[in-house]
Amino acid sequence: MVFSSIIFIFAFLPITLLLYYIAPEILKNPVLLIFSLIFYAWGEPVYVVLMIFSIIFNYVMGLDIQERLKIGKQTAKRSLIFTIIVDLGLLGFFKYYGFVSSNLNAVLPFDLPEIDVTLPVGISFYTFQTLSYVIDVYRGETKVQKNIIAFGTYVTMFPQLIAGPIVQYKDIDEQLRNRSLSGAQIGEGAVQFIRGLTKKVIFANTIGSVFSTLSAQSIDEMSVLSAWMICIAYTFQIYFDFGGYSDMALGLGKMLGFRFLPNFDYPYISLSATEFWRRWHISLGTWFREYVYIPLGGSYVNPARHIRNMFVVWLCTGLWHGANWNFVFWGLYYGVILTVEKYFLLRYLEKTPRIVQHVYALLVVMIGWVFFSSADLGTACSLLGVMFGFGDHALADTTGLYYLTSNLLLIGIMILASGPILHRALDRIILMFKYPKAAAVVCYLAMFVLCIAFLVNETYNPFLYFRF
Amino acid sequence: MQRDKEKKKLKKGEVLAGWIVIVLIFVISVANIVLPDKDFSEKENRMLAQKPELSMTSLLDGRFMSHSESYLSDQFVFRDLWISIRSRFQLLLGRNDSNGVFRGERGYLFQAPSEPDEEHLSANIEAINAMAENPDLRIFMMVVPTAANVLSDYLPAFAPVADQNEYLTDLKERISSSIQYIDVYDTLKEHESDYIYYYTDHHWTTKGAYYAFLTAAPLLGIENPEAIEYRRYAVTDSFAGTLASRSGFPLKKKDTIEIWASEEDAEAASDSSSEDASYQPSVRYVVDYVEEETKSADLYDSEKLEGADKYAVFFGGNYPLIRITTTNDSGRGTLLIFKDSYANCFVPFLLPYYDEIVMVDPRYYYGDISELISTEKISNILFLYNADTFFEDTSLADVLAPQSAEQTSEQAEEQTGE
Repeated sequence: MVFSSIIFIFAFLPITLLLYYIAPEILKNPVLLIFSLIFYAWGEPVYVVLMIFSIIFNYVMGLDIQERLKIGKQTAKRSLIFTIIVDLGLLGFFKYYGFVSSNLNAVLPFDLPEIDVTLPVGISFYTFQTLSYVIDVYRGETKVQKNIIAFGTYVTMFPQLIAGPIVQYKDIDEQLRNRSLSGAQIGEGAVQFIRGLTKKVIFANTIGSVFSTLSAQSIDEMSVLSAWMICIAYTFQIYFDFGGYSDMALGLGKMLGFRFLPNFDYPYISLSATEFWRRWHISLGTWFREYVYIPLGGSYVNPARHIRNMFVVWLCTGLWHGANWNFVFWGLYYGVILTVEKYFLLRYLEKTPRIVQHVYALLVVMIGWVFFSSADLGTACSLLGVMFGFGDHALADTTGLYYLTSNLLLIGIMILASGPILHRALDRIILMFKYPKAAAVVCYLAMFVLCIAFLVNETYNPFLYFRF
Repeated sequence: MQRDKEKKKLKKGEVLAGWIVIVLIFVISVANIVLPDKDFSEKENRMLAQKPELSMTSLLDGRFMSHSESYLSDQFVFRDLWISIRSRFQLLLGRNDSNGVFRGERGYLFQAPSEPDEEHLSANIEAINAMAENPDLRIFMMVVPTAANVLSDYLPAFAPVADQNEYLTDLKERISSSIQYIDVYDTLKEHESDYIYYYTDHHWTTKGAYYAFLTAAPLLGIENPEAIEYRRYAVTDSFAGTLASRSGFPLKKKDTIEIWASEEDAEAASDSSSEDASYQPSVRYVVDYVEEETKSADLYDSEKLEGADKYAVFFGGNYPLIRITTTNDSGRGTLLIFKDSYANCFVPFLLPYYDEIVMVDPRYYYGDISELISTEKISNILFLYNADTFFEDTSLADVLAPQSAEQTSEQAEEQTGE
């Protein structure tokens, strides 16, 4: 199930909230666990078994590591490594088997059997969550969770289950045992949910349909304008899609009494690729930093090893997004750019006017999205070729002009909404009224009504981060 | 201080808004359950999804889930209202297209021209050309350009629509030279400001069909087609067609459907019912819906004017095989028409000039065409389509040259042979 659907908002959510609110303190986790499993099983009626296995396995291994730690670090480490191998093994099999086997079959004298596995939704997210738990137990950074219901609630909690943010266990350990639920928090959460829903349904879906219509054209006959429209449309789609989903997750979390750390911080106002990655999908970056980059030595090593560490992290980041060469390339692309920025470029960049830095950062990000969104590297390169004027392509055609003119206002609004400006302006406007409370109600109610109007008659509502 | 106060005010407003939304979610959810389900959406002209049945298999393969989702959204309270909110908001943002429908000038809604389905198109052309090799048959073909082509001046600026004329030119080159192609583009273009297409529907109006008929008549061998004078009856002025429902755009105008009756018919009608001036045909022909085994003395089905698809007033909609026998003695015999719905308002103009007209809609017809041709003693055949259906058609070749049917009958023979 996805948040931006009629069935979630008008069937799953009211039932869950009602039972959750009336349940006594001790039953709140079990209610949440049961409904989260239903939420997951709705889209993955078979793979829910896999997730339950993952919960039990990591729960038991957490206890095991804790016990062994009392005997010695070595034996605990062996248990940890075993756990990591099993977790990553499952992720690897379901996510990468097809990719690895098809590539190996091209070089190996014999063929690996073809196994048709579909990717279990959210496996990349929940595997990283359980890994954070067992590693932190081993490191002694968190207490072991003895209650399997509470642990299961952590893994399956529906707000963050299928698309993050990747919540680290230690951040919500306390909240799993004891959390407060206030009326104000619930109301705030609902508003945050509406904001996220608006980003997803009004912005991402609308501009996403432009992207899919335009990219269905043949690249050979594409105009420069159309190619740029494709790139711009995707840039907005992926941010409002994923950012909106994260807002909805945080809002729902609040409505249930949880506080998750923010996942996005206006990434498109960044002045460099380095800054972009501090603002984009923050929970993933944090995870890689804490569990890969720093254990490898981070930046406190000689430059050669540091560069190696960077590339390991960026290769993993690319692969995490999908089993495909263009994701690998996309990850390494950022590896190169961030290394260059760190050792060389940033120093000079900082001396240029802000607008130059801004254009630079956006170009890097947008070119990155071309690799990210294309079916393969060849397509990505041809599209970039058209964008930057290689080959014989018309500057503009009616198709490009039509989609530009008919989405101009939307694009303008999305530019403002990509930074803090729109949000602040909205607050200003609300405060200008004599009854700001009433103004706020009208404003958010209007957003909600619009979202429902779009959802009831939806023709295009994919969810991009579902693939990961 | 001021800042904190403002923040507090904002937060209070947000909390209140959040709670109102939560209450609203509950109210709508309950309303969805309590309010009765509908079977059919008049506005969208389609069946609505019904309550899904729960079973182990439908749960495991996910059918129950997807069915529940369409059920909930189809039976959503005030569905029509939500749809119009969406389209209005999109217009506000400057988007003039919705679900493949463009909102043009003068209140016209346009269906984006469909691009040829090359595989089926070649098969169709081949089958038609094969038919044209029969020297006993005279074949005519009229593929009517659609509104988005003829009225392209009224499309929204830069609307990215395919060039239908290119496809039509290509078609003309590919059909056999023994086929008489009836090109009505110039005629329609000449009358573009004349309400020849409906504003809200993908069909042409009776007037558009009449102009096309005047162009087609000399080629069909009909002399002096203007001899018959028509009285025009507006049978409805509240027709909101398929493009209106598909797009959900607010309508500037609704459409008027006209039925044109010859003076002769009209007088006969006014004699029989002097008080009621509404159109009544005189009985000079019988419409036989062959597969449905019903007959009617009327080309028009006025009951359809009560529903959403008011264009179905012509012949009651599309049927696999319609045979219209008349009392004429025209000397032209029987005309066989392979057609889509564009023909439905066109055929009445042909009727005075043939003894009998047989209409086959290949999308629904599975009978044997060669048998039909020989039993009905057909010598004239007309293919009458609009460009969109013709270029997308997937059934014509199968009906004209039924290979699979032959194979199955061969197989049947083999089996009986054993």
